[in-house]
Amino acid sequence: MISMPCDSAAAGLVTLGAVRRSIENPTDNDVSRHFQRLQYGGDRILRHRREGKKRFKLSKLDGLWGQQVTSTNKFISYRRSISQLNALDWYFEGEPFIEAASGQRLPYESVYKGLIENANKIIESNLRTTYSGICLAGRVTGKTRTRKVMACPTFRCDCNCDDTRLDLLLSIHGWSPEMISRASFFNTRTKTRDRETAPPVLTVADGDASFMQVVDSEGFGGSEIIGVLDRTLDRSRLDAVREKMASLDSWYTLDMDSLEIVPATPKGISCAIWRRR
Amino acid sequence: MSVTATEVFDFLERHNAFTHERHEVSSRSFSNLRRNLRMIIVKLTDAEDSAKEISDALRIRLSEWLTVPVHFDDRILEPISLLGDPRMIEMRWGADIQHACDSARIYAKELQVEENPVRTLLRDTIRRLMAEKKRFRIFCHRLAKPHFQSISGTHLQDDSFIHTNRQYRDAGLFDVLIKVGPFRSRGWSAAPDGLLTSPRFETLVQIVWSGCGDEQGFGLDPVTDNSIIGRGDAAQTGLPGRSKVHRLQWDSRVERIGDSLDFNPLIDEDEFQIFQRMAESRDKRAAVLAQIDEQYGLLLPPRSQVLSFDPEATDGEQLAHRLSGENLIEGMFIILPFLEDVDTGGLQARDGRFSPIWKERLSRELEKDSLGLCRRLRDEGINLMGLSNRVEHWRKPPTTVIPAPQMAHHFEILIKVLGIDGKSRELASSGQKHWWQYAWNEIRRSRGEAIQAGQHEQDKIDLQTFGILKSRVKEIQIECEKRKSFKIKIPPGAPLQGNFGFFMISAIEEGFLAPETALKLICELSELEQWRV
Repeated sequence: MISMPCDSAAAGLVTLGAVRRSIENPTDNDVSRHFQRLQYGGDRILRHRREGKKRFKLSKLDGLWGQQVTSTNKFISYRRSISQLNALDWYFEGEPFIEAASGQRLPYESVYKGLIENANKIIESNLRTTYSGICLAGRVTGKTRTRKVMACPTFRCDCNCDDTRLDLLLSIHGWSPEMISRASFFNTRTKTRDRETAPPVLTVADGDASFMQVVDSEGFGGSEIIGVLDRTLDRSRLDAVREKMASLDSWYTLDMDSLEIVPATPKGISCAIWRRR
Repeated sequence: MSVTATEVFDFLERHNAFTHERHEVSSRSFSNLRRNLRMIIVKLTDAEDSAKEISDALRIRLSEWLTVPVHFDDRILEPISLLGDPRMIEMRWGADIQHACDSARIYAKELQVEENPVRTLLRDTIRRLMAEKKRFRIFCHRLAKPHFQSISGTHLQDDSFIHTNRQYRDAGLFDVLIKVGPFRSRGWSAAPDGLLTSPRFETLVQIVWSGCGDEQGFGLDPVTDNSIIGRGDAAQTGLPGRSKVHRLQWDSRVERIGDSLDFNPLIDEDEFQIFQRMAESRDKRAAVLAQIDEQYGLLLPPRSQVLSFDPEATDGEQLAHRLSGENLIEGMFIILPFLEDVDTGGLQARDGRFSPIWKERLSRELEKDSLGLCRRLRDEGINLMGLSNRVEHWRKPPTTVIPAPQMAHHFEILIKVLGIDGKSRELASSGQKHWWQYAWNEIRRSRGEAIQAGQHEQDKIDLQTFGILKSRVKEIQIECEKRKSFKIKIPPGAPLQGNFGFFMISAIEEGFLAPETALKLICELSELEQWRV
C-alpha cells in the first residue's frame, strides 16, 4: 500500500515500472496462453489482423490444431483454419493483437530504456507482443477519468524526440494507437477487465475504492496487489481502508523484510507491505 | 487541478517541519455560560418532544459558538429565551433548569460587554498576515463565512476561504491556514485529515476555546495506521514503525490567552465529546449530506446506491447507481423520481395543484392577522419554536421543494386552521382521502419521498426508472450542460408516471447522524443542521 499526499498519477507510474520490468523478461508475453485460448475458445468472436472487420466464430474443432472458424454475412460465408503457424494472426474481438503486424512495435524504446537505472536489457521481441500479467485497476469513476489523470505526466529521453505521455507508455488497449498492449486494464466501475486472459500476476489499484474491489475480487486471487491511494480523501474512505487492512490481519502479516529493501520514499509518501501468513 | 503533484512534492521537500500554532482562548464568563447550557442540554435531551427540540437548538447554538467567531451581542440570549417565560421555567422544567437558566442569562450579559476574544485574536492574526503579505486561507464551514467576513478591518474575500476537502485539494499552495475550533473528522468543526497529513501551507494557526480537544486519531494515514493527533505517532517521531512513513514533521506551540488562565477542566469540558455520546445513544444512523443548491440538500446513508448521472463519464457510463461517500461526487446529478400517487382512486395529485390553494389561503390569513393565526396554530398543537418565522417560510412559493411543515400532523393542523376541509366536490367523489392528504403527498413528492402504496416496491421502481432514463441519455446530457437542476417528464405509456428530478451535487459532507425517516428527503440545509454531530 502506498499513500500519497495528493491526487496523482502514481498508480500509472508504478504500472509503468512493472511494464518496463516485463519488457526485459523473455517469458512475459501472452503467446502460450493465446494458443490455449484458441484451442478452447468457446463462443468468443475472433478476428484476423489482416482481414479488416470480418468477425469469425468457431465452427468446428477437429484435433489439437483443427480449429475451423467461419465468418458469415448475408451474401457470403468465409471459412478459415487456425493452425500453430498462423495462430498469432488471430485475436479475440475487443482485445489487442497478440503480436504486432509485420514492421510494427511499441515506439517508445528509448524512453523505456532510460526509465530505470541499471535495469536489464530490453528484449526486442517483447515490444512486439502483448502481455496481460500486469493489470492497472482504474479509478472507480471510470476509464475516461483514469486516463485523463494518466495523460498528464510526460517523459523526455535523450534522443530529442517529443515528450511521451504516461498513458501512451502504459500501452493500455484503446489508450494508444498501438495494437499490442503490455498492461491490461480493469474497469472498476463496470467491473470488467479488457481481456479474458489468465488472472494478472501483478495488479496496481488506483485509489481506495479500486483497491478494495480488487482485494475482494476472486479474479485477482493469485495476484500481487499494489494499492495507491490519495490520503486527502474524506474520513469515511480513509476509515474504510483502515478497516479493510485490519480485516486482512488474519491472513496477512506485515512484511518488514521486504520493506527494508524498498528505497527511501520521497517525502510525503508512505508505504507498507503485507504478505500472506 | 490548480496544483500539480510535482508542486506538492517540491513543497513538502522544501520544509523540514511545519508549524502548528494552537491558541487556546478562555473566558470566565463564557466558561460559566457553557457549563450552564451544557447542563440544560443534557437534562432536556431525554425529556418530551418539545424539550428535546429546545435541547437540540441549544446544542446547535453552543456548538456554533465553539467553532465560529460569532458576535457576543444580544443574540447570545436568544437560545435561553427558547425555554420560555422565565417565571414558568421552574414549574415546567424544574428548579435546576431554572437556576442554570438564570445563571446563563447573567453570564451571557457579562459576555456582551467585550468583544468575543476569538474575533479579537482573529483580527490581530489576519492583520499581521496581511502586513507580512502572507498568503493565507481560512478553513471553515460555508455557513460560518459571514462571521469571519464581519470582523472589521480584515476585508476577507471569498477566495480566502476553504470549506470542503475538494476545495482544499484544489487550493494550491499558500503560507498560513487558519482554523477555528478543534480538529474533528466529522460534524461540527470537521476538517479533512489531509490538513495535517498533506499540508499545502507552512503554518497552521488554530484558535480553540479552552476545553475543546482535538479528536484522537485525527490526521489519519490508513496505510501506516498512524495519525498526527494522538496514538503512537510515527510521523512525528520519525520512527519507521511498521511502515515507511511520510516523514512530515509538525512543530507544535500552544499559547493560552484569556481571563481564566487558571484553566479548570471541571468547568471547560469538551462539549463535542459529550454531544457525540448523546447522539450515539439515540436511534440514528450515520449519513452523508449531499447539498444540491444554496438552500437545499438531502441526507444519504453512507455507501448507499444512488441513481445518478455523471455528465463527464464516457458514453454508456453516465447513468449508473453510485455509492454515496465513494464515487458519487460533486458535479454529478442525483436523480429522484417524483412519481404520481397510485393510490388516489382516480384523482391524480399532480404537482402544483394543491400548494397554490393552501399557500394563497395562508398568505391571506397572514396579512389579515398573523399573530392570531400563530396563536390558533399553537392552540391546535403546533408547538414549534419560532413559529411565526416558520409560517412565513411555508407561504413561500415552491422552488426546489414545496416549503411546508416537516410533519404530516402539523400540516393537517395548518390545513384545518386555514379552513380547507376537503369538501370540494371533485375530492368528495374521488375516494376516501382528505384534502390535506392529497396536498401532503404533493409536498412529500416534492421532497423526493417515495410514496408507496404497497405494490410499489422500491427495487422495481429503480429498475423501471433506469429503463426509462437509459433511452434519454442524450437529452439529459444537454440539460445537464445548461442547468443545475431540472425535471424530465416520464412519457405517457411508461410503467411509471410523474417526473424525474435531476439535482447537481454542489458539495458532499460527512458527519451527520439522522433517523431513518430523515434520509433521502430534500430539506432545507438549516433543517438538516439538527442532525450534524
